[in-house]
Amino acid sequence: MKQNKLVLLLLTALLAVTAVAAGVHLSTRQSAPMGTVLVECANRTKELSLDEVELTAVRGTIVNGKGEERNVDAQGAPLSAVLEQAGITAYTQVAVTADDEYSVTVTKEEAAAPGRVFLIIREGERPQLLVFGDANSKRNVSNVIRLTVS
Amino acid sequence: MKRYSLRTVLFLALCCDLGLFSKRIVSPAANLVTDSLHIPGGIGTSFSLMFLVVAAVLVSQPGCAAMMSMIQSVLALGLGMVGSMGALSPIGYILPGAVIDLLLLATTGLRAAWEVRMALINAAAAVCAALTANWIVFRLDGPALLLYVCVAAVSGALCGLLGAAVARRLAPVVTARQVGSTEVAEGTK
Repeated sequence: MKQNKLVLLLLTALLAVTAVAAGVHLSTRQSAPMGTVLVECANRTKELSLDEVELTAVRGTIVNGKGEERNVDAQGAPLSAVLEQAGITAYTQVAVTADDEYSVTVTKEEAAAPGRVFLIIREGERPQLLVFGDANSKRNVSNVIRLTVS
Repeated sequence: MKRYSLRTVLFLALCCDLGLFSKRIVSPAANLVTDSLHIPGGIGTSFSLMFLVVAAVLVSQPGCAAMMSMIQSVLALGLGMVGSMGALSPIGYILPGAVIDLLLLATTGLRAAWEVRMALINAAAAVCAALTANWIVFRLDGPALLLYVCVAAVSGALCGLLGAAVARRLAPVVTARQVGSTEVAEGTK
């Protein structure tokens, strides 16, 4: 009985800490409204409407962690064009962050390379980052909400 | 070196496989929770680690969990189940396995019930796995990291309790002749 109480106490304490952490995280995290993406540069944040971005056909093949290839045929825009739309041309790298805070980094050279890095934009969905030429799909980020430029 | 019986080896192999594949089975349900909390995971791994903890507790041999996690990492590499960790995925498997072994050893003298020990061990292994994944892949910080670790700890503790219930049922069947299993069977009554 005493041991059961110990387990209950431990779980209650863990749940309480988790609830506090969830409260802090959910109240402090930055999120972008649907159809937009936040662009952070030099401590300033701009909300970029994806309607303003000129879409092009994105076609290519990506490789997942198992080495399996998948053909992509979607509408999107090069990451460099999205940044240009936000008025950003001078940068060294971009951190692309998803809704679940998963974040990857793309260098300016990669973003500027033709046909390499795209934001796939679909109606009613958050954008997806696609990096062609990577050996795995680690940098293919779904539900992108934030681009942090440095 | 102690020789394992065929039954024990089969049990360990089963736990290895269950640990490896169960994550995919629980992922859809786990994602419902983690998506709503806006964190990249933490629950599926806790569940998969439960099988390592159950096996390590029942077989009661030093290094059992680490050995199983090494086998899991080899299987994962062989089957291409490396996820976003890529070639570094063995670290994500082996470190939690080592933590399980260390904590099993460290808590041997405790007069705590197996429910408590297994909840603690599973929670610690889940936190270790979460921190390793964060170090290799996610790079979270601040409140997001705290929440991610807390969710891993809570789900790890709950899976540890579930693992204790499983171990209690399996102890007489799997390793009835071994001292460790007798302790489990008695300790969890």
